[in-house]
Amino acid sequence: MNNIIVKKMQEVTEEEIDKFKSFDRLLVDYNYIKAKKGILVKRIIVAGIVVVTSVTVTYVALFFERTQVATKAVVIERPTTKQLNEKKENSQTPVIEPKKITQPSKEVTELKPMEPSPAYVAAEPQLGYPHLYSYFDRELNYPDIHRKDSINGIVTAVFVIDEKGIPTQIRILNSLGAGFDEEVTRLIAGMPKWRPATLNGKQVISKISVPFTFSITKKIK
Amino acid sequence: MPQQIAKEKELDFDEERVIRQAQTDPAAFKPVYEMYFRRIFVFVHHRIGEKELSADVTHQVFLKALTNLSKFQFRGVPFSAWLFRIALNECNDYYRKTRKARLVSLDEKATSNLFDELTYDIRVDELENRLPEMLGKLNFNELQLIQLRFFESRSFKEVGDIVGISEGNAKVKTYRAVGKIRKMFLKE
Repeated sequence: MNNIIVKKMQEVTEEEIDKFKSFDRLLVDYNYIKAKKGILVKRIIVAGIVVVTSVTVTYVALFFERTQVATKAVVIERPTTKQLNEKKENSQTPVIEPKKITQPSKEVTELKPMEPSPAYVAAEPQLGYPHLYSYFDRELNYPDIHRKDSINGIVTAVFVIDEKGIPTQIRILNSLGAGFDEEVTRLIAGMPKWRPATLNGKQVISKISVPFTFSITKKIK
Repeated sequence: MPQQIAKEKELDFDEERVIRQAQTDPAAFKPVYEMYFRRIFVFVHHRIGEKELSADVTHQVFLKALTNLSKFQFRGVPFSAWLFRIALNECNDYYRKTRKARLVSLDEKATSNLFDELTYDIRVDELENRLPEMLGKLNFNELQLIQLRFFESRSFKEVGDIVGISEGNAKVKTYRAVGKIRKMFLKE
């Protein structure tokens, strides 16, 4: 049911109505509304630009982040000799044959005795690092006394190259056994000559760290 | 058929040309404002009652018309009907916001118009006495159609244009409302 009031129609004269007529007031109000709408539209446009910019920046940032993750994801690590050997071992009976692995897994790290300055020149093998690596590869032998144990691992040796380029103070950091330590010490003592490090042209001692990897290669009959 | 109570004045200007001009220049709207102000005021006054309040609502009607004038297109619906539709919506908005009881203004002619459509078994004075109660039982849309058609003596074409339905639909819906009132009279 409607909530209504029924009343007798009230007469209004034309003069009374005309008193309320004001076109000027209508125009003033119209211009006010238009101006208000204009400001509102500008604010909406500015807000829209801000939102679009923020969203775009966020998407670009996310895109680059994903690209980096994807790049990382496609990197396939090269299987180590050990892993390959284990795979083969699963299918066929291997015969253990000791083999030396001489290539250092890392580059030679230098531990400098003093703060490096622009005039500091690091010690390096006289015939270069490739020659040194081939020496290690050629000369390093798997110790016979450990052959039956089939030990695989890394031995890190630290030594000092003195002012004359001679290796001294040879120390083994992580030993795999006496035979391995002896073999590494033998190699370092007999390695090609080094050019000593220099500081402002003066020869100085420098500390070098080299890792040696010992592994047993299994051959298929 | 009810008689036309208030005949529309003949337009003494090219309405379409003036409105097209006013769509780009609001100041050109003045002849239209002058032409329709009284009619819109009376239309609103019949629904609102108070003169000052009716003047305010009428002002809002013209302000809304001027603001939305660019949307108006000459496609069958006369400009006057478009104005009355805005006025009707403004009155409805007023009641929606204030939650006051709706005013239905009646005069002798209005009652007579409706009486012609009802039954001759009812006396006019009886109709006058019971009409408020009967109108209160109609839904909002039915009441609106009865007001436009019988209390304001508008053609079905105009009723349809104002309410936003076709002429035929306006006719059908209006007579359904009349039938509802007739049933209510005969029952009680």
